[in-house]
Amino acid sequence: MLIQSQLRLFSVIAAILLLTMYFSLLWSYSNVTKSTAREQYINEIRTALFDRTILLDDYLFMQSDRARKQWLEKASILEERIAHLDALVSDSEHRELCREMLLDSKTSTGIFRRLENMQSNGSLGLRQEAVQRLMGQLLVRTHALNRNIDYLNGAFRDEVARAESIRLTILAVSMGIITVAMIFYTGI
Amino acid sequence: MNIALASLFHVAQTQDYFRQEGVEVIPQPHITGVAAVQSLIKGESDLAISSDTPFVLAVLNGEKLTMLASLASSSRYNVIIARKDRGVLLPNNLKGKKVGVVAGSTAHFFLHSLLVANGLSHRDIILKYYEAGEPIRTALKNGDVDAISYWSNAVSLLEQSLGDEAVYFYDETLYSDNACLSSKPEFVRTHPEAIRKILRALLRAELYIRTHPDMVKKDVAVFTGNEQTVFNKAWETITFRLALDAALLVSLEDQTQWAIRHDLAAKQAMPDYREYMAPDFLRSVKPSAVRLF
Repeated sequence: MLIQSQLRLFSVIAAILLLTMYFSLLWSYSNVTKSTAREQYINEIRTALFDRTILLDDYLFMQSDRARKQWLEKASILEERIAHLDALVSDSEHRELCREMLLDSKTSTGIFRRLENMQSNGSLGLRQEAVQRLMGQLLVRTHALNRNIDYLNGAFRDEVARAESIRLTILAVSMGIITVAMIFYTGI
Repeated sequence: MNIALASLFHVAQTQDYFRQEGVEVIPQPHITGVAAVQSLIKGESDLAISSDTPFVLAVLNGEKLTMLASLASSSRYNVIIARKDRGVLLPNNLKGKKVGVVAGSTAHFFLHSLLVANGLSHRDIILKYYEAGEPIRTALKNGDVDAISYWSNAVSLLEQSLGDEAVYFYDETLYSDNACLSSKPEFVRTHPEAIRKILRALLRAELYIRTHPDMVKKDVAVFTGNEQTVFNKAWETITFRLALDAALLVSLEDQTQWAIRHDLAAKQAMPDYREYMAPDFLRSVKPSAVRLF
């Protein structure tokens, strides 16, 4: 009778432990997935920024209207992705960086629109100076975007590593508990 | 530099971070960054916080300076304030008008940028130089000039006196103002530990502003004598972050080209600004902040 009630108690404890392990593993797996998604997303943003930079060269050196349109399309994609990333992060510093990135991206589009108009308006000397000034500002924004992308990429990479490490710890602890429990049960 | 862009310093001081890091800092307030850099050059101070334009002009005039970090940036800190009753409603209405500015300041650079972006040159306006603060504000109030290029922290004061008669031209696409901490090479060489401590205190201030923005905003508004509502608008556009990066290099070079083109400095060649920076100090305190490639 005593053995039977002890076994019932152990079964309840084992069930609670198994459920705890299951939910912990589920939680850590979801963390790894979220962090990996954020890391992949920031890499997509970097690619969009890189494409946009090449398209600017294409537009300025080749005076290609196709490149002009593509630059604007790419800029719009970049803005959408940054806005989406903002929705994926919860850390206040990361949200602030997303806000900055969005502002830099929007300002870049504003600068590009002015550059488009500069190609045909004003005297040559003034136009050269204005284009140079606007190009300088566009470069400033691009560097700022790249810096923030790098920073967020590093932060998300660390998050993935941390989440992976937590998952491994939970797995190891779970295995340890199962092993101890099995030895104990075998003993009984 | 007694403005919101220098808030990191103000916070480090009020929160006692300098003393906690083991360094004594005696503040020497100046109304503009131009005056702060002049004080550094004359040897009246060991460090200066100024915007990037006074730093660029000092370097181009042969001064040996070392930049330690940029502390904050804002693309909405400079503004042209004009009088509607003088017929200025749009930036291109500035043609033929008298415009006041503090020589060698970011507002000077911003004015030129706004003019060229609107198809005008400095020859299209009558440029008048004033001291910062009361003299330039009075010139606009009294109608000695039709517009001034100034900083947005003065907007509240001018709104009180000009009311609806004033019009404001901001332009985020033309210039991003960087507040920078600089010193002289001799001081940097002889006081490396003090510089590290100062940067550590400023880094703590950066974190404090991030976690207590409303408290700091209120405090700095009172410190700089600004009305809270107007000050809020300026504050929202400022990013407080210690950095030495490629964006700053491009901005310095952009202003150098402007200064050379308009004969504002003795040197006519582009300096390599990396030689005027000491990134190791900031790198030792915040490695991710240094990105000079």
